[in-house]
Amino acid sequence: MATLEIPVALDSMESPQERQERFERDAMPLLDQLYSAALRLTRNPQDAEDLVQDTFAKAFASFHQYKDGTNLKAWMYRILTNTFINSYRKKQREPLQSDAEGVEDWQLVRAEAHTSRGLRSAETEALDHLPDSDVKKALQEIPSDFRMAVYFADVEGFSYKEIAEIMGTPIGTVMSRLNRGRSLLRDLLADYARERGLIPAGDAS
Amino acid sequence: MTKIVFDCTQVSFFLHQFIDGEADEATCAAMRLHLQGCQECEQSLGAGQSVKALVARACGCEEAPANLREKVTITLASVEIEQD
Repeated sequence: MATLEIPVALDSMESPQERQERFERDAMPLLDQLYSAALRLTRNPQDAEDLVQDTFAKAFASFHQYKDGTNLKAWMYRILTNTFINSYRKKQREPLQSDAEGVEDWQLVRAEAHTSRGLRSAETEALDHLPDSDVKKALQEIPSDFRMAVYFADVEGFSYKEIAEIMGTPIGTVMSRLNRGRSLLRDLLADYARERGLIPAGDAS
Repeated sequence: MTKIVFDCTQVSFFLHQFIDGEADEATCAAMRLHLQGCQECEQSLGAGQSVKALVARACGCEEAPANLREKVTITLASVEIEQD
């Protein structure tokens, strides 16, 4: 993680008590938001809780590196993302993630095979009738690099530049992950809509 | 000024930047121009926007378990502060 510089004077002026108060005031309100993200990333409540606790512990330990007045939410998300990638994703052994390059190529082929066309307007409208649980399930099924990019853009509304900083990747990578992630989601959601009879079976596969 | 004309491949390339409000004005203008006359790209746009809206609607806003805040506070008490 890149070290954010903080003026030495300010750093040394702050007592441990003040520092803790500043952390509780500024960082703790992000708890629910970070838990939501953690739940989407880890895909289970216990790991999500652990990930949130680890994230807050790491953030607190290096809180002097956070520059007051800059984007605290993005800073916290970067810690969450790094922690997820370095510990949880390895533990969870996502088979599709084990060989990142191979996955990307494979996903690219699959995504592009499907992107030759969109959905017809009526099919797109049918997606709106899917229950939230289907959308969450679909998001959980796509590879976590894509899932993170989509979540950060669509739920948190981060800019591409912020997502690139959070994920530690070039902006071009963010764009391709969003592109492929949303294509995979669209196909999964269309499948679910067909299974639920919202789109006539056999139509537009 | 000459108008930029996009083909379907270019529209597909810039589609998500356009949806996310990340495309510059010239790109947006070229996108709109193409989308007016291409039903297939217009449908891709609709599907992309719909997926984005669905994720926004369904995937955030999970409430953390009631005792998580307390657990975090307890964890913080034992955190060793980095010095550099």
